[in-house]
Amino acid sequence: MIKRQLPLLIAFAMGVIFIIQFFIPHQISQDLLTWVNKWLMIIGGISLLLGIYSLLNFHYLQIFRNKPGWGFSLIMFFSFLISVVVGFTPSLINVILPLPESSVQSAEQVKEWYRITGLKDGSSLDWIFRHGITPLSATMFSIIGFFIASAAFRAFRARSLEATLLLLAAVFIMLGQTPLGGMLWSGIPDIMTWILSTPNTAAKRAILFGIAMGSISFSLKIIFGIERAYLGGKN
Amino acid sequence: MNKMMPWFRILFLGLISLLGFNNDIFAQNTLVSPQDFTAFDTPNDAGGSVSLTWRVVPENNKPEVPYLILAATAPDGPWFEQTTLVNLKSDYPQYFGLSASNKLWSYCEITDFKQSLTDDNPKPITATTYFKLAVTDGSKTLGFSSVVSAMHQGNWFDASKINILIFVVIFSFVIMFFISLARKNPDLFIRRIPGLDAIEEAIGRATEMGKPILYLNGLDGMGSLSTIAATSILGKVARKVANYDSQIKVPCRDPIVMSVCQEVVREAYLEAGRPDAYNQDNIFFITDDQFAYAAAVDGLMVRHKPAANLYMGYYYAESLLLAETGAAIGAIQIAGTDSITQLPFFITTCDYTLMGEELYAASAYLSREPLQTGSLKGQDFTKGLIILILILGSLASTAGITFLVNLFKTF
Amino acid sequence: MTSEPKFHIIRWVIFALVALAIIIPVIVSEKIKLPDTSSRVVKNIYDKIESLPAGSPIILSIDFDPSSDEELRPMTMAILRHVFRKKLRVIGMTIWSPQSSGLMGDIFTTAAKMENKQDGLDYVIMPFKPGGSSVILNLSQDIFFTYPKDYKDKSTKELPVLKGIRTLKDMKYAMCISAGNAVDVWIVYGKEKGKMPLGAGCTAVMATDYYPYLQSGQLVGLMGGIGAAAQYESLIGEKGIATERMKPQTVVHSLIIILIVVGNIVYFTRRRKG
Repeated sequence: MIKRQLPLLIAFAMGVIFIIQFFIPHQISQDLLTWVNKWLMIIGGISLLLGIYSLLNFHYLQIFRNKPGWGFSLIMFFSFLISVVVGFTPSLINVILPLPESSVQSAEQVKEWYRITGLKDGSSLDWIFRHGITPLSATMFSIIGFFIASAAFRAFRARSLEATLLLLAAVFIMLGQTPLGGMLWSGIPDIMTWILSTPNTAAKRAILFGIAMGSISFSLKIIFGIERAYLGGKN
Repeated sequence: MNKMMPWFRILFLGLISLLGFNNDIFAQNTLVSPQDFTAFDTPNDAGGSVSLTWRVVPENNKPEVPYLILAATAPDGPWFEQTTLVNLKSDYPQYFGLSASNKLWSYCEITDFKQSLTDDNPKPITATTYFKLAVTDGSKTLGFSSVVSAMHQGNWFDASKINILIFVVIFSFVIMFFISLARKNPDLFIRRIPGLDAIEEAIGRATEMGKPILYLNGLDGMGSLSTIAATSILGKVARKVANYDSQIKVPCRDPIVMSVCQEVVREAYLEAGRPDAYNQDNIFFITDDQFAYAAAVDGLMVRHKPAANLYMGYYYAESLLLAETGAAIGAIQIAGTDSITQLPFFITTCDYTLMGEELYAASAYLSREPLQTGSLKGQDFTKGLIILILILGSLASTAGITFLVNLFKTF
Repeated sequence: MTSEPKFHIIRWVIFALVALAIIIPVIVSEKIKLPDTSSRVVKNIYDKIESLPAGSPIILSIDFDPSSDEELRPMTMAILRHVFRKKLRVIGMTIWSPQSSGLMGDIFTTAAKMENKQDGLDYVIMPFKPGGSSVILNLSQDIFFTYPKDYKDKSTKELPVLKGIRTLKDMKYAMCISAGNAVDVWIVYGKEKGKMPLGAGCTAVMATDYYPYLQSGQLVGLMGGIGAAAQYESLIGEKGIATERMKPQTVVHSLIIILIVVGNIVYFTRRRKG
């Protein structure tokens, strides 16, 4: 019973407190918000340990059970280990063997040593981030260009009047955004502008309106304990 | 002594005119002395700021700066120059609202005490501070206002948000009213949402094919409403999956979301009477990096070939990467998001898409509980009300009446 | 759910075509000549700057940081080169982030070198000041009080570029190039207080949000992403990186349109066959 009621009580109390907080500009109220946000960050940090455990456990089982693609799990372990070693070792060295300021090295060399081994810009971990994670993310992002072509090929079919309108709008926008549109007909860029400024804006605003109303109603349901499915079990 | 008087008088007048107390100089420069100069605590703020206002006089409204604010910690000085920046009260609707008369008042907000105009290290105001306003012609001071004083303090209510408070109260009452109505009459009509009806079909298909269902909660954390809505739907989906004796996989981007999902799915299996079938390892954390997450989920799809992919919650640029890979493996795809920019990608690649508020309505639609459907009705009623106000507001604005529009302004 | 047979093969063919549509135009870039076109909303900005007499002071608010540099630098560069050629006096500022100041310094210096302009004489870069709307409100009262010193720590009162200027109202034009909500702030505060014509530049995905302001006349023109930058480059007759990037983009857009047409032909042929 308490397992079920306590979270609902916390949700209600915090919901009401922070609705009231929104209307109080006093410093005490601002400090309360900052304090709670700090706690959220702390809880988030602790939960990351849970996440790491889950990640390692999942990939361990993939390898242990010889599941399809277990090699990727092995690469994950390898990458994880490198990141941890590169991330922590310099800090440990700094703690265990701090470079004495009075050593023969010049101040510049000391600075450089800390720069390479520390966790800041230019450090080894920063190098992994810049030259590993960033290009990999960019590669994933660039795949969107290929997927857009394949999705457009499959989706833009003149199945109905609405689908035909969607198709025409897509063609006008794509043409209008390149010099090709103006080359074919000077009116295409203007049609593109009209589509973007009139039907597009109208539809976007209508959807936004629905989202705004839905989110307020949903928030109220959470605060008043009507919506409790996120806690698991029956409402 | 009497012989000395005329000389003394001339010297005195000379000094006065040098200090700028001579009204003739105002006449020559067509400037007038400040009127109704007042100092008070800035309203609707956390404290730390004092407001100064005085009447706008057309004669002083010139391109060259005619005003200089001076401050002191005692009524008789010493006086320190603070600022020459003067705006109108109407520039600060967050403090003074939208009253038309705000345009008739000059305004200056003081938060720090400076030792000079160019003081780079001013100190915050901590005690009652005295102010006077000097009228200048840009180079020399022509006259001063009377001395006023104020001390700042934090305020306990932000009056500029009163319209939001009224709306929240009205909206809450409407929702509560419709919930009580739904209790009396549980068979309230909710329009069909094909995407949610298709969930049953998708689970059935997965069971027939002996393949898992992939469920994503979006990329936001537990603080996002979209994620809460997604976990609510997950509970319903997991229960059906448990009933069908199928399998559900939930890769997560946030460890807290992962813990919540594990609990939700475990409870769902418990309710379905199949606690033994629940496998915690199927709800796992991947990474909090956006594209690494997308790559990992794409990899899962390609290797495990789920029969159905359900994308609920908030998504960013990775939406197409996920949904297009899902389409390529031939899975039934159902998406639900309130991320407007990603909706077109889901619509083109998924079989069904819940748009915007449908994501929030999904829980009510799937559970059909009076409390939930009632709140949905209340939400629709308020939306109707707002559409009406929108039409009236548009008409009023066209006619030049701004009252209705101003009522809904937020600061 | 994809029901089409052999779709995975078609998909890989599409991917290969897209790859070729990007790689080939990059390789034979010099041989591709695209027509110079301009949409009305971009040309309005060009026309406005063209109409200003030499020596007119304008503000360029650079409100983006390195994350949007790739998309927004080309348009900033094109605008800057245009205003420098028109011998306008430029005040560079930012209300966005401290990182924007450094970025702005780099862009201004590069453009100034190209057009042979001098810091302090033809343009000035102001340091970042927090406060957003307050900074603009203060500018509407006194530029020298808001920015007593420029980015290089020189006293602004002594700069020839600011001679005869005191407030926002003295500006003949203002333009905000933003990756966030700075354009909104400029519309609400800058346009209201300064009453000068205002132009905006933003990332391509944000552009649709600002079309209503064009209709209301609060913005004279709008530039969205690389496409608009390429158009502007052609307007000033100085084709650069944006024009180069438009070549593969145009080819890929054309390819997608062809794919849509082919997809529909296949669809209708199949439907006719039942």
